Amino acid sequence: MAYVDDYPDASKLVRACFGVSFVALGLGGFFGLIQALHRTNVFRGFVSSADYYTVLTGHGVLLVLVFTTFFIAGLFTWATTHSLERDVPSLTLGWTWFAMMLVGTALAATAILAGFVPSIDMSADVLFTFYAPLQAHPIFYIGAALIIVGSWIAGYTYFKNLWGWRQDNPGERIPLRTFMVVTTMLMWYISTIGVAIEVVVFLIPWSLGLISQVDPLITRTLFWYFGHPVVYFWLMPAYLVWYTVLPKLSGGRLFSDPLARVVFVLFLLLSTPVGFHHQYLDPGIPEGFKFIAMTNTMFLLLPSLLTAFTVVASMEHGARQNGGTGRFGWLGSLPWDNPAFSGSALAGLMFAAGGFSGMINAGMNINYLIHNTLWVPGHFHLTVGTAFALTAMAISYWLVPQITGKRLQFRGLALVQPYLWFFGMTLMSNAMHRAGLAGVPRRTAEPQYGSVDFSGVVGGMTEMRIQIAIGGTLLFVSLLLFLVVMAGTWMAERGRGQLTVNGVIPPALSGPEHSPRIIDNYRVWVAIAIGLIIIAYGPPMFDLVADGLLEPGSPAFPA
Amino acid sequence: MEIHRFEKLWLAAGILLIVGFIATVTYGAVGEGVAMVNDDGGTIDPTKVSEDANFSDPGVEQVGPHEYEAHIVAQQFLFKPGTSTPIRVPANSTVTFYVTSSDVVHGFNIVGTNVNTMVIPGQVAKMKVRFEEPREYGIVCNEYCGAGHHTMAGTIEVVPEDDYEGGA
Amino acid sequence: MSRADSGASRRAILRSTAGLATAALAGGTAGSAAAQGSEPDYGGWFDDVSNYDETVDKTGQDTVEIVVGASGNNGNFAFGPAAVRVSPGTKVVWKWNGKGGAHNVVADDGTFNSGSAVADAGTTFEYTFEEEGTYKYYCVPHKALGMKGAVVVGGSGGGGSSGGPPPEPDYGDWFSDVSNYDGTVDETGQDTVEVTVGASGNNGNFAFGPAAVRVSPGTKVVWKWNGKGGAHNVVAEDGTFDSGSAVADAGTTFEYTFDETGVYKYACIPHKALGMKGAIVVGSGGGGGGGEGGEPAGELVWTPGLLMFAGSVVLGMLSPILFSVFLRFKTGSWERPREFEPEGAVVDEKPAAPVAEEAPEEVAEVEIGHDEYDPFGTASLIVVYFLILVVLWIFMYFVEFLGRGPTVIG
Repeated sequence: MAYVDDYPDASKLVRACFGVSFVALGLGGFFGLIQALHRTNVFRGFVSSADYYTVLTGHGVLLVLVFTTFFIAGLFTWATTHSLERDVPSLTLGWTWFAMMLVGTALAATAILAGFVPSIDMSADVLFTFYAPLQAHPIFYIGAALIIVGSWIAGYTYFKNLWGWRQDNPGERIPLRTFMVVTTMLMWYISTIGVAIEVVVFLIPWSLGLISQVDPLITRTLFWYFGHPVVYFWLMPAYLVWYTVLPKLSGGRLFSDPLARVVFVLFLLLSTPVGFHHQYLDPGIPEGFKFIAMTNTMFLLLPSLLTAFTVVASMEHGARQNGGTGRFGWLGSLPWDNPAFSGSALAGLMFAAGGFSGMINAGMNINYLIHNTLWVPGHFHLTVGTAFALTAMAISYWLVPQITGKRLQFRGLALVQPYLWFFGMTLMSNAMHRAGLAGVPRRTAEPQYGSVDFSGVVGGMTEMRIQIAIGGTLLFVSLLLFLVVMAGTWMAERGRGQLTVNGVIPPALSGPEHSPRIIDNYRVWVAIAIGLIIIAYGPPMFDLVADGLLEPGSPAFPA
Repeated sequence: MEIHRFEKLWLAAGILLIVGFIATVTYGAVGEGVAMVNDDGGTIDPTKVSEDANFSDPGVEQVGPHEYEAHIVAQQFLFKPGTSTPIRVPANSTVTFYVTSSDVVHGFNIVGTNVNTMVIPGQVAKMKVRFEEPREYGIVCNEYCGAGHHTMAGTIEVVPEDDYEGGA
Repeated sequence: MSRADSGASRRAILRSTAGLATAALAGGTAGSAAAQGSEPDYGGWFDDVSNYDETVDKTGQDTVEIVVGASGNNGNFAFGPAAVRVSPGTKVVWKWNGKGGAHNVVADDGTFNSGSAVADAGTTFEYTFEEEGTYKYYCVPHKALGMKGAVVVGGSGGGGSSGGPPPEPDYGDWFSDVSNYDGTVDETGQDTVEVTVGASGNNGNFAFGPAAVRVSPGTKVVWKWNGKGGAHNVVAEDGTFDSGSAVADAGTTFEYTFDETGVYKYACIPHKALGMKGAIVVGSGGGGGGGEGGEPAGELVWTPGLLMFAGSVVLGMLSPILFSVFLRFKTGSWERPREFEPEGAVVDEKPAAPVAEEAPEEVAEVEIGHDEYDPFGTASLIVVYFLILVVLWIFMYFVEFLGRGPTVIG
């Protein structure tokens, strides 16, 4: 009996989430292809350079707001129900949050896509970060708010399930996957407060004309209060896969459950009070607050460094259990022909590289070197673009058969897909990093200026442009492969033979009993997290609002 | 709590790495004197930039021996000065830039250098920079500011001292 | 700032973006350039200029005015009109209306250049065109948005654009006591036209400036009070429009959009006897002004480029499904011939029960327990990673960052 038979209600919900998520992935990915070809001047026939920014907004919102949130909601629904061995606590709540998120997506997507159609008086060419005073149509902000509120309700259902389980299992340690879901959602609640205030208190009234101006620096600061933890909202589910499923796929067991818990607690504590590292170069924010954000960010490296060790050690365990020997030879004994494994492992490898470029971004003054250059997209295509996206695709190969009851189709394509993604991303991202060092700006339709000469660190500008174009194209092809496999599997006949996967997660080598009980007491961690945020954000926010909530204020510039 | 000894070593190495990073950054700030853009520039009414005493006639002016101030207004889609007329400063000088925006958020990046700042309406970005050698640099707006963002660029010329005549 | 304002400008933005996108996609069919034989070939210059209509004939005038900051191209990024034809020896005066930020007027071939971009209303720049030819020019900061224009000197051409100035409408004796009446000013080819209320004239500030204006159908005329000359109002003789009670405040505005062709006389009631009268002439009536101002506002033009784009998006989204359906029918089954079979598994020949069987649990070759496992392979890899991090950080910080010239030091 697969998951779909044990938990039919949850399966439906997870399938719905994945379905929306993959559609967003497809369209967002197509936009990415347009961008890669347009800004490198390889092909500009899709859209005008003015419409490029509509494409860019669509790419950002569909991928990092819709694809991610829906996939994570589905993944977490599976993770909690499977690890607690309890179906979803309330179908009504479940479909409510899904519907809310879906409506929000439809609204925001409409506002964005209407930017392509001149006869519709609606657009949202404001990019994923929607900085004021550029202003989008009100339904863009309303849609985004609905997606967030929907996710809050989803989180509530996970907690509800946990509380029900706790009543039946008093005194037991929270199963690891549910623990990870819970800490992630707690971090999410804390962090989304910032963007919720920004959107609901300022941007929606402003876009409706109820208030005439907003302070761009305050709204920016509220966004980045949320903007850094959101990347951990994307990363922690990937970690959940790497910690709990990847060892099993490798043929082994998780090296250390306690350390996994510590890592997630560290994320809960440190994800939010670092937001100013996205504002190192903002006027109006004193250097002291930026320094605190820098030290917090550097310590936030720790859970990721620990993860590297634990996850690789778990893979090594699996390799050795299946005949691997030698200091490095065991790497060959890993199941590289299993796309769920290879995708997750390659995603992890790429994240190690992306982590480094993140360390540079975090380095306060060295941020001058790369801020708003193409280095930054180079960085985040390695992290959310691979660590999250490739892991999501890889784990889908393992999970979708279990939530549909159908065998994975087109295995040959699935086998190739992660390698193609890795290769394409290597090309595109390395060129983006180097182009950024040369000063090429990001978020720009035509980074070819008459008055500016870019000269590269290593390599020439032409070669970088070509790598970006080729890399982006390969990524799109890889994406198509994934979608074909998913579509084929979805439409396959149910019950034809046995699945090639099973949902058994073996116990960790070092179990939860080896960690102090206080780790599971998330109330303590939430309190400390809030304390750290008050220290990091209290004084600066007070300064910013001291001269007026809406001062110095800017009127709207519709985009 | 049970932690494998390898992992304990790695934990220590990781913390060492982190402390090393923080130390490097601190050295850059304290030792090399790299300063972050902060709130010293003050605030301004973004709808009245052209009436402000400092920004109504933006440009470069000398305020002391080898010391200059450059007031720059960023707007959709040009730098004033910078785009129509280059910003001109002499070599071997210290220039304090004051950059603000009269409409939306822009970026101001002297390409190939570490001079890079956000330009936020309502705020004035103040940056002190030392120019040694005569050279010409391009300036790029690196924050999306609207449909014409990709056209927003300028130049700054660091001219040999003898050739400098003063003014923007 | 009211919602209505942003709405109006949003419409303008969208309409102009339409022009921009559609023009860019279609590649060259700018506006509804009347297929008149005399229309000069600008070689694509006006492809992305939303307010380009056709070349407005202003020959036979000593001085021709062009508005800088006219409404168009996603905001106030236009010259009004975009293209004019003048006689040799004409002085063209560009006049800033204060909108759209800072502008300048720079000839493509370097013939004339108004200098740094400025924003102030009332700024003027003039150039007298002696030599025949076509002079393309643009505003530097907004060139990419479509703020471009052209002055064609000489040659009246046949077809729609007639040789001389448009015939002066017959106002009867309407303007016989209006001191500031000086012919009908051609303001065709613009979305919006401004008329000052309280302009200097008639022994005081009892005038409309300009007194008589010709506009294109669909133009919005905005009367703007300058605060001088006491209380004024704007009342049409035929009752078509009426600004209400006379007011004096500077900044007051009244607007009316003229769709029907015709001559609309109007006056300020309290000062009508002093000569405070005006007229709006709507329509080409002789060659000035163009057609309907480009594509009818608000209509989606399915140019080949737009079709291609929409089609490729839809196809792209459907392609995975189409492909899998194609494969399904091609191979006759969803399965590939050689599938991975887990050891000891039994493959059902007929899809009987809907319950899915999971693969059996993995069995390791060797079971390695907690106490016997030292991940020394991982440890070695981590050491390598650590070293790479240190080296790269030192390189990036000291060579790339500190080694790079000018840096912010205060």
